[in-house]
Amino acid sequence: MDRKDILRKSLIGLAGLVVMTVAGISFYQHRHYKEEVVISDQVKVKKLADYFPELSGSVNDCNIYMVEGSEPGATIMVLAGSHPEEPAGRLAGWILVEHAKMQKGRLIVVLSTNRSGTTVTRPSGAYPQLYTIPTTWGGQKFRMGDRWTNPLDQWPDPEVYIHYPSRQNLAYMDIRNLNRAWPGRANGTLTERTTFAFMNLIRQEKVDVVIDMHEAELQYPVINTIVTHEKGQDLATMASMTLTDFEGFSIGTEFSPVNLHGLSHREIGDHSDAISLLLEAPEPFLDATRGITGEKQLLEGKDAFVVKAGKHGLLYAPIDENGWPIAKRVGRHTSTVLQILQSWNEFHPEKEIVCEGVPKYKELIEKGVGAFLIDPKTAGKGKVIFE
Amino acid sequence: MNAILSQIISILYYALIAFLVVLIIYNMIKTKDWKKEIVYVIILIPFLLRLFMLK
Amino acid sequence: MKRFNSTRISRLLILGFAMSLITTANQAVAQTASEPVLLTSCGQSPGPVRLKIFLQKDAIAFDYNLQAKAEDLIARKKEGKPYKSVIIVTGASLKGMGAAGVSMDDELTRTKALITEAKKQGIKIIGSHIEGMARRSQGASTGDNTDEMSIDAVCTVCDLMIVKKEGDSDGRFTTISKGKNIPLILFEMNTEIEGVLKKVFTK
Repeated sequence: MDRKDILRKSLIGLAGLVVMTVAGISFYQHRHYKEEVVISDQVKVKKLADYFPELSGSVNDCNIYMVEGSEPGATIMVLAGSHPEEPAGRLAGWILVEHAKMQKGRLIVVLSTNRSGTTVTRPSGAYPQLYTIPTTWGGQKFRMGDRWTNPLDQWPDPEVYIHYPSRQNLAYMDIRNLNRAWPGRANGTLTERTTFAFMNLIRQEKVDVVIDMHEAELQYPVINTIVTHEKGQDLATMASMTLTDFEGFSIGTEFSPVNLHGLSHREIGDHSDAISLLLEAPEPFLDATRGITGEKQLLEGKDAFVVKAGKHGLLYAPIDENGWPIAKRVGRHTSTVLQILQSWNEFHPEKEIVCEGVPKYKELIEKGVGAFLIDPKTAGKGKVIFE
Repeated sequence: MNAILSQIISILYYALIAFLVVLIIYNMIKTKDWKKEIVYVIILIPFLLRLFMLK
Repeated sequence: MKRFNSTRISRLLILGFAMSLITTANQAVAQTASEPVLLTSCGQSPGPVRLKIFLQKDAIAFDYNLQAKAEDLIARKKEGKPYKSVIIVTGASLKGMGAAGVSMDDELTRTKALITEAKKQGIKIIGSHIEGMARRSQGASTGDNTDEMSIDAVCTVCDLMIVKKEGDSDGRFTTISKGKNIPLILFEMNTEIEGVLKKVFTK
């Protein structure tokens, strides 16, 4: 090897090192970015490890926000960030934490149900690492995530994922999909231990209803719907009918398939006393037929290619040139959660839950999501929590 | 038992990555074709990112 | 001549009025039904749950069996407590049928036998479509017409239809109603179902 070769190899190696360093810094910054949540005096913050100490200090030892009313009543738990590539659920959860004022009963909110999944984006997916919700005070940044636990936290995947305890064979990468890992187990993978901890929380806190907020691609048939365990059929149906009649958007109901395992709407209902529901809103960003992937498309929900797919009858939800903006998707979730609370009260007047202060669908469309994010700089001491 | 086994397998996989990194660097140094050198460096990047637990 | 004409006209008027009263009464009767009710499905969609909620609210005596068979009607008759009405909610869900372990053909066979036995026993058959256009073939995947098959199996042979108006935006149920002379009750909002059922099952 002569000097020319050495120089050439060194230059090529250096170029690679520069690329790796730039990429590595951006990945590191994304993984460690601190999202800010402003809490009120009514909110108490616990950790998931309080319910399963073995998770303490791990990436999935997430915050649990408890908002308790002055009068006793039902306990409803809202999960956001089971699939962190679905931002509407997390943003709806943010609004619940920052604005819910409970009169009766208790609201438990989780913003990063699969916190590991919020620290990584889809390999080769060209996802934006962060997205900004415009506000009057400049804008708030959030981590964009992936559907699965970060491989840095759980790797490698097996050839076949055998679900515990059903022993159903699921796709290999779904061993890192939190919504295929319920009810979990104490000695399982990180993802399984996370759902195991949540099951402990649900039982110990005697949660009456669990609502898991998601988004789906328009090519997916389970969309614009409330998926319900059989225990929650009446509740989900009543909520769906009332929302469709009075809130200005249509939402259906789907029954949780008894023989499909690992999902929150199946396993939480089967393995606890809680009713388990899962909400789906449309997210064109996830569609396989989408055009340019980016922050704009994520938040505006506009895509000419997805619209074209619609014209060919390939979609299960409508889309036009106005797209599915984030405010609409977040509004669907907040309105649906609030209606579920109300419908619960109709069926259970002896154990009500009363929540005020949370904006609904029309208000979110009118004012935008940013209008309901509180500036952390205005928060009192100890009132800013990091996700 | 499951958790311990998973950890052992993870460590083995990282060892595998380290071995592949060494192999790629060795081949990159050995080759006389500059096009192959570029390909080796491109392939090396994701392996290094995983080895350094960045991605 | 004048006296003959006025008498004849009076008789015709009285006859016409009486006939209109009878027709109105018949229509009113045609739009009512009696308890106890069997609530079931043709297609295993989530639709029946909507009716179940309001039947419960209205305190109407009913049994809920999504896979009700002709044998269930026979058994009730043998017990001396026959059903007076059966509501069959149309609209198909491939997921629901999968969960129930049945195919669309199974649903159609079961429903046909159920309807035949109901007619034999003089049980009033109410065909229902509750979920709007989302549960019509236009809302399904390309080539899937299972919703329409369930509608054809029930609504063309029933005694009364209760349908969400949005699901009739193409006039499907109105056409069936006119062609087969089957009374049709349309409602706009889901929350109107409570009032519709109260009226239909007037005690």
